[in-house]
Amino acid sequence: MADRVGLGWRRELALGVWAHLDRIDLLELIADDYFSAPRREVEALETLARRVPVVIHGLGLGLASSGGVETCRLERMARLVERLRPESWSEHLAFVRAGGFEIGHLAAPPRTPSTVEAAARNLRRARAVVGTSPLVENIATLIDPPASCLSEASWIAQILEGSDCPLLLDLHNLYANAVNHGYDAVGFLDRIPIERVGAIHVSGGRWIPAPGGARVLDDHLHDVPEPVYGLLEEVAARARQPLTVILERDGAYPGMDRLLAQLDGLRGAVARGRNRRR
Amino acid sequence: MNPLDLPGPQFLVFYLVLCLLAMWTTEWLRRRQENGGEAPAPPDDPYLVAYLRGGHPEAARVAIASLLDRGLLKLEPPAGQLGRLRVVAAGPESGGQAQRPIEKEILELFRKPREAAAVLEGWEGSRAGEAYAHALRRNGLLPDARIRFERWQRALIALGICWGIAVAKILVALSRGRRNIGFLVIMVLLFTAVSLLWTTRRRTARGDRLLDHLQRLFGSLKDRAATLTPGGGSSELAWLAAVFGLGAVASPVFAGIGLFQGTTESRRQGKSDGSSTSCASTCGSGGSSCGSSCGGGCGGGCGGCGS
Repeated sequence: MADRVGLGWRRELALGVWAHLDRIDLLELIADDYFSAPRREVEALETLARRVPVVIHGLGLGLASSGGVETCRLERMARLVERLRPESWSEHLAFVRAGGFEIGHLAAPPRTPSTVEAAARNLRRARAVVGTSPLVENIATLIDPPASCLSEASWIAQILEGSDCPLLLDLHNLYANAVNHGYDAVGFLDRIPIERVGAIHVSGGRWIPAPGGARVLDDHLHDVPEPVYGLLEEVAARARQPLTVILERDGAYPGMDRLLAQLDGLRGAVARGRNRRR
Repeated sequence: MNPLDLPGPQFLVFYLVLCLLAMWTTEWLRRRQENGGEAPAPPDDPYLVAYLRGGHPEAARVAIASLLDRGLLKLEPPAGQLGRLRVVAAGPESGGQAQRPIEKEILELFRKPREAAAVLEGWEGSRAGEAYAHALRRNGLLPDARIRFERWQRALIALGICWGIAVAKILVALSRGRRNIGFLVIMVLLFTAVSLLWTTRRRTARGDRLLDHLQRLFGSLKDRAATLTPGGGSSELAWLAAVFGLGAVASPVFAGIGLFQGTTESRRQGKSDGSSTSCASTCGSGGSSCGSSCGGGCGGGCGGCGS
């Protein structure tokens, strides 16, 4: 299988995406948008899936939650996967609720052996209910989770070691965390099992003022910054397996030409990385 | 109990339920037979979708709009001038830039300036149109001879039952010296009309399903047509018009298409030539209001920072 570059399916982009499917290798659907959708909405996605390969991306399971993932949420994911038969499904290594409260965004748990164990337990349950293992994604966090005793790279590596899940490596999250917490993003790649990377997310963010200097906010509203292309090239140079790269854009949508140009840029970065390996 | 012995009002209720049941059963059987299997494969040709939605004239209208947008056709005299608008091929090289057979056929038709409406009304024997019809029938999206036969078979059985009972009741009523059969006759005629209408539907249930899916996938984009870039040369406009109709793309930025649409619409409605400008101004006001709804919302939802 060759390297592929795709785009997140958003209603606002639907027409442009549909009209340019000859330049888009696959689409990523946000699962949570369709859990409560009318039956016909999901049927329409089946039609979409007959024209282009699709993958499903979840937001609200909370796979790194110590409290465990609710079965009903996994069952909803299972039904969607059964219905659309995507190539794969993915979720974040984050917690999104605790003590009966919905946080409303993806939060990083303390990076400890006990959250490694909790994530591994959740991943086993996810596999049992949905039928296939998810790809697990690293998240961006503006604060270093308190009470952590592991680095982000070794926390992710240990979760991967304890499960059969591939990694969905979000390069903008990696870039943002590296900038915000002062570590080397390329060095991070040295410490994770690069052969377990099943897919890659890229997106854009913006600089925000913060005490002690500016920080990068991963808002998915801006173009992919240059350092992320560099990281993609680096991953492509190291990985032997085919890579699936997905561009995420969640608002402030530019014209389709600009998005397609970014997809071409991503293809170019992967190709440069592959050439470096030869 | 013999329903034919029921008194008038009760019999009418019985008959209404019978007719509704017959119609529901017929429709259920139609959907089951025409809509089987997995989701229909979506076509990659917008004109095929336009043909599915409105037949050959609609496919041609969408193709003309797309050619106008891409500058391969132009309006003559210039858009905005009162009088009869004509469409003409932009130049001899335009034929080479047409991508699909229907576009080539249309460019050939407009080598000499002609009114679009007049051409579309009298256009027979389009090879591209025949190819679209054939492809849609082959994929079960338009009814072929077998599907039409099955539809008529079901309709005639249902009509036979309802007509038979109605005739029997009328004979019973007449034999008993009653002549208040007006409501029953009206119900029979209504049921017959609806049955015939349903039997001769253009699309199959599968075709309706595909069109519904496409309209759902493109969802709110119908209201966002004003954000499209005119003259972009992409197929976005063609897809939008194919799925929702030309009304979805007429806006200030596509003034030429609005005027072209005006010529065809006014012809169809038998209006005077001047109506085309009023159409453009109507479209203009609609388009500007559409633009205000753009850009809001978070699409798929990123789930906040860090997703």
